[in-house]
Amino acid sequence: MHGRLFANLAAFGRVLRGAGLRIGPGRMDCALSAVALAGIRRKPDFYWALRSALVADPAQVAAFDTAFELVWGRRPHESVDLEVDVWKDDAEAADDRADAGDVPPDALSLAAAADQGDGERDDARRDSPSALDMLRDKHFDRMTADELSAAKRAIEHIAPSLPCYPTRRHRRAPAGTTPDRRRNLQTVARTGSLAKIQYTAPREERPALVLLCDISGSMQVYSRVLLHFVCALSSQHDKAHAFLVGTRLTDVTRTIRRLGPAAAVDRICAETRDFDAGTRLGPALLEFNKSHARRLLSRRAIVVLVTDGLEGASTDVLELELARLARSCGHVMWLNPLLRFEGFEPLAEGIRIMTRHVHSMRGAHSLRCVEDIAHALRLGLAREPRPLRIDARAG
Amino acid sequence: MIPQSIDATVTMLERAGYLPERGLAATVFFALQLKRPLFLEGMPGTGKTEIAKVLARSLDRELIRLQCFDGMDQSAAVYEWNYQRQMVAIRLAEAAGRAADEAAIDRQIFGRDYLLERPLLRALSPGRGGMPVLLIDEIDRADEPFEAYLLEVLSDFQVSVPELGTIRAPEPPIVVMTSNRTREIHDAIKRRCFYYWVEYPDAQRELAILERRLPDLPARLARDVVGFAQQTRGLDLFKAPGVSETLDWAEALMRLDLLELDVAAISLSLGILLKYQDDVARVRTVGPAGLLEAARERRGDPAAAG
Repeated sequence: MHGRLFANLAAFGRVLRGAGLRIGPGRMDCALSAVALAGIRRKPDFYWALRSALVADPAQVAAFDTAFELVWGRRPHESVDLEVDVWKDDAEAADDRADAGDVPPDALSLAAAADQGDGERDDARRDSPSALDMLRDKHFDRMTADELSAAKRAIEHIAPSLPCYPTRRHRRAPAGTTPDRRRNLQTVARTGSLAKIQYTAPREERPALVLLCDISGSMQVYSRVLLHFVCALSSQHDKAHAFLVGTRLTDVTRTIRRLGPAAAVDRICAETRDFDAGTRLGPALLEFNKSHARRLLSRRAIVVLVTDGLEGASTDVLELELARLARSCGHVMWLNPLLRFEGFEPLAEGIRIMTRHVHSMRGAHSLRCVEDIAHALRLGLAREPRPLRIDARAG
Repeated sequence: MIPQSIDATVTMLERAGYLPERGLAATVFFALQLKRPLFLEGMPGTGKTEIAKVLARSLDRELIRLQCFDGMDQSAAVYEWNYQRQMVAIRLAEAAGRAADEAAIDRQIFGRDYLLERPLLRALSPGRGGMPVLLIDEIDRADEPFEAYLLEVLSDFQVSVPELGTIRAPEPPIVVMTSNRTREIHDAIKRRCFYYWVEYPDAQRELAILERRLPDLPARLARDVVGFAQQTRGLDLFKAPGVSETLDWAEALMRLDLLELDVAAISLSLGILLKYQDDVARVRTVGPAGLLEAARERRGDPAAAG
């Protein structure tokens, strides 16, 4: 099966799961066999191939139809030549942007479709473009509870991923280029001749990602949203970690995996008593460098700091620890919600210190910012030269 | 001959007198080709059982029907030893003085010919034309322990009889499961199947079915019957009439030599269309005349004032 079609079908499965359908690998397998039989020439046949394998309840039909329309375009019962649609990237099919091949999928529309799965299919179609665009640029601190929920779900669909890099260890790979000396010798020792040469290739790994979230005062909104981002990442990547910085540093990686990001933050906030003391990033970084950095960080690791930089504690400690942190990892990314204000200038001492030591700074105040972050992560981050040029994106 | 395309499936079913929606034909096609069970859910009277019969006829296979009920167990669904025959065999052996040879008697009474094969086990053996069509009807009436057992059978198509060993099907039978959705069937079963929700047909399809099954039915009467039935489905009835009820009703009205429907005929024969007294009373309250008129207006009949 053509790679693109396969990828699109897998994406379709993800959308359906987001909408609440339980699609396991067995069902997906069934669906793929049916699609192979039905072919992709006629849309109604393609639709029925997927529906008969993936839907097992009449209550799921509406959600399925919405997802189908979103991913494959147009109404399912139109007998239009489908070939054009199935080869399209899911971003292009959902939103006709044909410029960059790397455009991230339209996460919001996928999540919105998942939300409005039961009924109001026409409303979803009518409202989608304008409503979603508004939501994408809306600042998190101005969103209503419903909008925040939608944004969080959209973030889960953004599917952030980090690029792999080769390591020194090798693994067996028939298509590799380095001969596997150990195995080849074993074969010769056992059989006396070498009928087939075994090869190896370097193992690939993804870099670690550590998120340090400030949850004091106004930062809470942004931190909560970005924790969903880490949640989505850690579901695919076991080297993603999250810490919360309140009056002290708390490791919430396991809690997030167990309870979900919202519950984790709630629990920490319940334990933390004092929010008005301002950010205490310096002492938190000290704690992190002492207890966790050696365990978690590596040359290629990425540390993401979510804070406004308005340091309440001593700035000397902040400078020292930040410099040490920058030396211990590959890239320090600063997500600063203050960038939502146009004409932002680093005047406060804490902010100036941070701009001296971090490698990049981005806004974190809207969904578009999060999409950009995911995009940047996917492409891979390189060490940028300091001093940092502040690119105040008013998202 | 297993159809090789969705169009071929539609043709095959239509030839046998069943007019399916394309979605149903597609699902049947996938189920046949990929050798997976077909799970049909829907309101009673929408032709779920019928399609199994049609499949058996079209593919020239034996139809084995397992009608599920609450409390159904292995002895009703899979196999049972023919205890009476075994007893008789033992008595005969005793009488003939062979009672001491236990091993021989054992072998005899626990042989295949003393086993009463119930539907699930029978379906594992090939019959006329190939593997049979196994219809597991109204699975929602069986209980959960049975579902668990069924899951096991449907996964491997084999049955273990402790005294005999494992009996395996050389290839999977064609399995059709139906449910009236009176309770949720466990996802583990549905996951193995191709699923289709059978709806009431739309007016056009129902008319086509009527014309096919009852070619002597006057055209106007057919249209009236279909229109009225469609209208009643819009009411909040306990059991809306299915296609089989529409067919029965049409046939009964034909016997009355009517060319078109009128209120008197409706009142006489409402019990054929609706099977519950509460529903009959409700339609009488709403007024059959009104429903008939609405039906005629809907299809743009100039005689709607009638």
